[in-house]
Amino acid sequence: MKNTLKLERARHAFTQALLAEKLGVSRQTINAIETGRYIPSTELALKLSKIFALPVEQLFILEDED
Amino acid sequence: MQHKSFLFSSRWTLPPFIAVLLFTAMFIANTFFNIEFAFLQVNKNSNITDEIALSGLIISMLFLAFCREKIDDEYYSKLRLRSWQMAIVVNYGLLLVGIWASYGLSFLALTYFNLLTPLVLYLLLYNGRKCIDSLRYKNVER
Repeated sequence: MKNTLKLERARHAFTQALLAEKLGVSRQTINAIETGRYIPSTELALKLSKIFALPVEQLFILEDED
Repeated sequence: MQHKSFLFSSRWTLPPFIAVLLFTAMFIANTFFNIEFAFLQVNKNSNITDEIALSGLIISMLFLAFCREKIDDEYYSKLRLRSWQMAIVVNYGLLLVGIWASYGLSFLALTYFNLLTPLVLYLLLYNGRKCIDSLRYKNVER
């Protein structure tokens, strides 16, 4: 699964630390999601989509092998 | 988003860490150099230095292993789970090798140390992964 988190974060001029603070998670969690090492829970994915005002499927995209 | 879990407060990290260091020193002194503390002599034939060292080490490592992070979220839960899984697999792998490679008293020594290896491996794996994550975070563009 890939995601557009880094792109959206840049578009909104959010740092990883700021986004982490808004979500109430650690900076390492945001970094792990962006680099594809961690797939967030539905709850966190929905919170991200709310912050960026985007549908979840625009933030997280399934790949052929998923 | 604070993840709900039955863990100790993150403020409890330092005391168990210091206790681990002290009890490790006591455990090594007692196991490898047969050092026994006079004040732990309960009667003529019995000294409880080894019992205190091993119990203290296990309890302090349990406290350290089950401490919450300052911001404890779902990612750390996953990191904990993975570290426990890997620690158990490696522990039993080492035990299996030990079963075939050691006999008699050396096997007894192996089982003695095996009391501590799951916790030691877990602490090394979990904190190692946390360190790697911190380094990755420092190296990326924010």
